[in-house]
Amino acid sequence: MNDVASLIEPQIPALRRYAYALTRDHAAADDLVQDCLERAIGRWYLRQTEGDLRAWLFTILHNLFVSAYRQRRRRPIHETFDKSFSGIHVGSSPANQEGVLLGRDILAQFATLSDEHQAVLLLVAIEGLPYASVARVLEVPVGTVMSRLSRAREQLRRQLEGERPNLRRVK
Amino acid sequence: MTDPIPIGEDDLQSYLDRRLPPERMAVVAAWLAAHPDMAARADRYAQQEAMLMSALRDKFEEPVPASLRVTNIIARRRHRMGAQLARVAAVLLLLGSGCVAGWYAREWSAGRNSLHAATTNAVAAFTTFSVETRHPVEVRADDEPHLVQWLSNRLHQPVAPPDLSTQGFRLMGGRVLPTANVPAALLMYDDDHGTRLTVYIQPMGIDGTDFRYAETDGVRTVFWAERRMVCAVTGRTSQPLLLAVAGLVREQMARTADTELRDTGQR
Repeated sequence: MNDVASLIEPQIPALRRYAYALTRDHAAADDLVQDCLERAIGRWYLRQTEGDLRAWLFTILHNLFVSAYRQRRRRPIHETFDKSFSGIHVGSSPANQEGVLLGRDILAQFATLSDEHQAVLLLVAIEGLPYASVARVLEVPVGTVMSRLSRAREQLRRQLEGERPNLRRVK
Repeated sequence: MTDPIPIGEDDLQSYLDRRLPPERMAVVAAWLAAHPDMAARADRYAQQEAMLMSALRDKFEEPVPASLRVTNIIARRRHRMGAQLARVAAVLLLLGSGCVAGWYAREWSAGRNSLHAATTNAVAAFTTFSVETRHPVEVRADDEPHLVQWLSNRLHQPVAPPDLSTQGFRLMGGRVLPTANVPAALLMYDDDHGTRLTVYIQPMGIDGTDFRYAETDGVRTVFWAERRMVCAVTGRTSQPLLLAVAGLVREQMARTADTELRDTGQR
């Protein structure tokens, strides 16, 4: 049992970061992580001994997030769009050009991305998972990971620079 | 400037993530140097990811709450599984006691019913055979060893006709009677006045009872259960006489059973 703790414990900060970035709710994030850890411990015997523990943990966490937030996410899409448009027109203007942004701004803009784009960007750029592992976590081919990554980066850039999402240019 | 291998979107992404082999990194870097707009875009990507990283740094460095410590989660799981196990055990216990109670209830009600049925059978046997003048019994008392063996074989237990001479009754003989289960034995006695009474014995899996009394159309019966046998003493005689006979039967049967027990123990 001690080896379970010594293997899992070092991963917890990253799991919390991922859950928080997706939910932007401290309590909800820790609930997800707790569920994730309970499952991981309960299914420890199912883990492939030489497999990628991080990818395995992120897979569990991501699936929990998807099933918990699927319904909530479907509803407020319009709301999210409205917010981002108004934010662009009223508040954050050309200061963005300097690339000087506060943390809450980047998180707010990041929040306008789709769940899929948020997930791929977090797993690759923040958590540093190999593309193959990200493919495993998201249960999509590596090619899809690459194209989502490309779109996510571009989408975030446009958000930050106050551009309206140009749907025609998004592949 | 010519590109030996065209730079694609995947190259750009992999370059940003520093996941290309060193020589390919150099190729992409060179290509970006020649494409300032793409280089600016790549810079923006790197910048926004650095911002995202720093915005999430606090969360990453925050101390992990106790509720998320693996050892605590394992302890909670154990506790919960223990509680679950206790619940399962409780349910099983309840189920078990239900079964046991059900079993006893079944035995109890079956016992009541079968005691009643045995008594009815005993009374019917008395009224049927006590009026017989030529064939009141099937095996006569003068062949008692054969009677004993026959009844004992059919009832799967030792059946020894009680000696009722102290009450003035002699054994006439006996017969096997059909029942729904193991056959019963009917022993008939008479006295000098020709008064007849019967002793009915039926093996039955019910516990001991005290003496009970029933009367139907002048036929009286004292019955009880003991040592997994139902006995009924039936006749058109007075209740005190029947009770006295019942006492004799009970006493002698207990002695027979004890002897049997001792003999088996010695063997």
